[in-house]
Amino acid sequence: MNTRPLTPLLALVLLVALVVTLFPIFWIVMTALKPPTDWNAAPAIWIPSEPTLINFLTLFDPDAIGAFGVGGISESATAAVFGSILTSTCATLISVGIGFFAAIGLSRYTRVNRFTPLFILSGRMFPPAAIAVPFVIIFSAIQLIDTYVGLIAIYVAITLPFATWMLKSFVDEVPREVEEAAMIDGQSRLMAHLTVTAPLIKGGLFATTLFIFILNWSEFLFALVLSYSNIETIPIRLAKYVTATAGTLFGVQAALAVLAMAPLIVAGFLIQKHLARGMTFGAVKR
Amino acid sequence: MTHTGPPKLELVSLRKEYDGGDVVAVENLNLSVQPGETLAILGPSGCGKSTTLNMIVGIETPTSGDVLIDGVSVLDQPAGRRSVGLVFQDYAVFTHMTVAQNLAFGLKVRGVAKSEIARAVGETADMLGLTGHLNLRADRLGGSELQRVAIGRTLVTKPALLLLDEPLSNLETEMRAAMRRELRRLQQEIGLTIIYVTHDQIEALSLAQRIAVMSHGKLRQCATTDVVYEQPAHTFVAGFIGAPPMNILHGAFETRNGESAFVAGPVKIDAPSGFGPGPSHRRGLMGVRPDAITLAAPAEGAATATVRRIEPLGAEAVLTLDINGQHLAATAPARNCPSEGDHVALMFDHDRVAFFDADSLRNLRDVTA
Repeated sequence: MNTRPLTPLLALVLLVALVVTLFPIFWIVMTALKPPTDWNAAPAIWIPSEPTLINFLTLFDPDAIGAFGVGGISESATAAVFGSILTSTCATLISVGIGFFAAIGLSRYTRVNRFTPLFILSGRMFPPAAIAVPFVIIFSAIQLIDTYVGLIAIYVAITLPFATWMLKSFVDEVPREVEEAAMIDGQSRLMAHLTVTAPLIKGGLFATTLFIFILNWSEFLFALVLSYSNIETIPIRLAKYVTATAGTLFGVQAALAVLAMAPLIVAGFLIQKHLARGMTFGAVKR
Repeated sequence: MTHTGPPKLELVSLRKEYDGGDVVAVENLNLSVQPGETLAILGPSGCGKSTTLNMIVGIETPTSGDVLIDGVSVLDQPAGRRSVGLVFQDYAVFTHMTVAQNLAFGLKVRGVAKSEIARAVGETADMLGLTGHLNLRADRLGGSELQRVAIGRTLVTKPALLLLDEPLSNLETEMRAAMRRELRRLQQEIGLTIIYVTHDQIEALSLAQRIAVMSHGKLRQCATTDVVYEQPAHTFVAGFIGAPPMNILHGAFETRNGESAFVAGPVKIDAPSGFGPGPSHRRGLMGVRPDAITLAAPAEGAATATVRRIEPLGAEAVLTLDINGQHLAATAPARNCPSEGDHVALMFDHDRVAFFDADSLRNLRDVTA
C-alpha cells in the first residue's frame, strides 16, 4: 500500500468527510444523554447541560423516567434486545454455514457455468417490499408468523446469496490441490473441506459472518410485517417510543439506537482488519 | 498398509474425458511400471500427464479403463487407501499449519499413535533437512523448503508408489540439482516405485530408467532413455526430446539393384531393405541427432551443405546447415568450427539414423517389425 502525503486540500476533504460521517453519531449519542427537557429544546442543545443515563435506564425499566414527569411507556426493551441477538446470531450462523458449503459446491463441483451462481443472486433482484406481503400470507398459513423460527428462516433466505457469493470468492483463492493433498492423506472430501479449506479462508469466514450479522441486525421491514406480539427486534422497538402524552421519546429512542449501533461499530472495525487479511492470505504458491 | 516390496502398476486402456466427451485428456493409455522402477512421464503442458497421475492416485475417476496395483484394480478405493503418494507441482502445503503439523497430517488422519507420529516426523525432517523449521508456519517458508515439506509430507506416510508431478519445477537451478541428488538417494534407499512427471528432459534422463512420452493425451513411446533418444517412435518424440531436437529430413525411399536407400536431395543413406517396397517411390522422413552428424571438407560424392548460422555453446557450437532448402542442426567442437557461409560435407552416423513413415509419422522400425 502506498501512502500519499497529506496535502492541505486532502486534509480538508478528509475533514469534511469525517464531519459528515460522524455528526449523526455524535448527535444520537448526545441525545441519548439528554434529560427530557433538552430533547427538543429550541434552539437545539448540542452538549447536554446535565448528562444523564436515565434514557438507558428507561429502556429496561419503563417507569424510571417517571421522575422527569414523563410516562406512558408500557414495555421494557429487554425482549427486543434478546430477539435481535437471537435472530441475528442464529440466522448469521446458519447462513454462513450453508453458504460455506454452497460456495465450495460452486467453486469446486460445478463445471464452468455462469448461470447457477447468478441464479442464486436473482432472489435479490426484486425489492423486499414486493415479497414482504406474500410472505405474511404464506407464513400465516404455515404458522410461522410472529415466531423467531419464521424470522430466522426469512433472514437466512435473504442473506444466503450474499454469504455464498462472498465465500465463493475466498474459496476460489484456495488451490484445490491442498484439498486433494488432504484426500490423498486419507481424509474424506467433507473432512478435507473442514480441516483444510475452512482454516485457509478463516479471514474470509470472519468477514462474511460480520457482514451478514450487520445485515440481519439492522433489518426492519420483514421484522415489522412478520411480528405481532410474540417477537420483537431492536429496529421494531425503536419505532415504538411514541406516547400519547409526551409525543416521541427522543432520548429513549436515541439510547436504544446507541445500544443497537455499538455492536455494528465494533463489527465494522473488525471486518476492516479481516477483510484486508482475508484478501492477502494467498501464501499458497500459485 | 502392509506391503512387501515396491508394487507393480498397470494402466489398462485408460481414458479420461471432460465436458461430456468434448475434451479427451487421456486416450487409450496402456502402461506398466515394474516394481522398484522409476518411470518418467515427459510431455508438453496439457498432454495429459497430470490427469494420468490424478487417476492413479484417485482424485480423478477414469472415464474408462483400469488402474491395477499388483494386479488388483484400485478404482473402487478412495484416494487415501491406495498407498499411493502424490507430490504436487505447486506444493499444496497446508500454509495454515506448521511444518511439523504438515508432516504429521497424513499419519494423524490415519490414526497413528502420537509417539509414532513424533518419531516419523523427526526422522523425515532429519532426512530432508527440515529439523530447524519444524515449528515454523508453512507460509513463512521459501520455495525449496516448501518443496521439501511437500515431499516429506508424502514420504512420511510411506507410500508404496510415489508419484511426483513436476516436483522441482519451482526451484532455482542449483537447488534443483541438489534435490535431484536427494531424490536419487531416496530412490535407492527406500526402493519405491516412482512415477515422475516432468517437462524437463534432463530431470527425466537423470532420474528415470524408462521414459514415457505423451502428447495430446496419447502415449507416444515408452522405452529406455537411450531408445527414446536414438529411435523415437514418433516424430513428435524426435522433436520433443533433445536440445536441439532431432533433425527431420523429407525425402523418399528408392530401391535400385536390390539395394534400398533413402534420398533427400544430395543426401543418400542406405536404408534397411524392408523400408522401400518395390521399385516404386515411397515418401518418408529421416531423423538424425545433431551429434550424429560429422562435418568434413567438401569432397566428390558427399552431400554438401552451407553453414547458415553458428551458435556457440561453450565447448560445442550448434550449426544451422542448409541442404537444398532443408535446414539441419549439427554440433561441432567450438575450437574447430567452420564459419558462416562455408560449404561442408556431411557424414551421417549410419547406426544412429531413424526413418519415419511420411503419413503416420511413426518410426518405420516399429511399423515393419
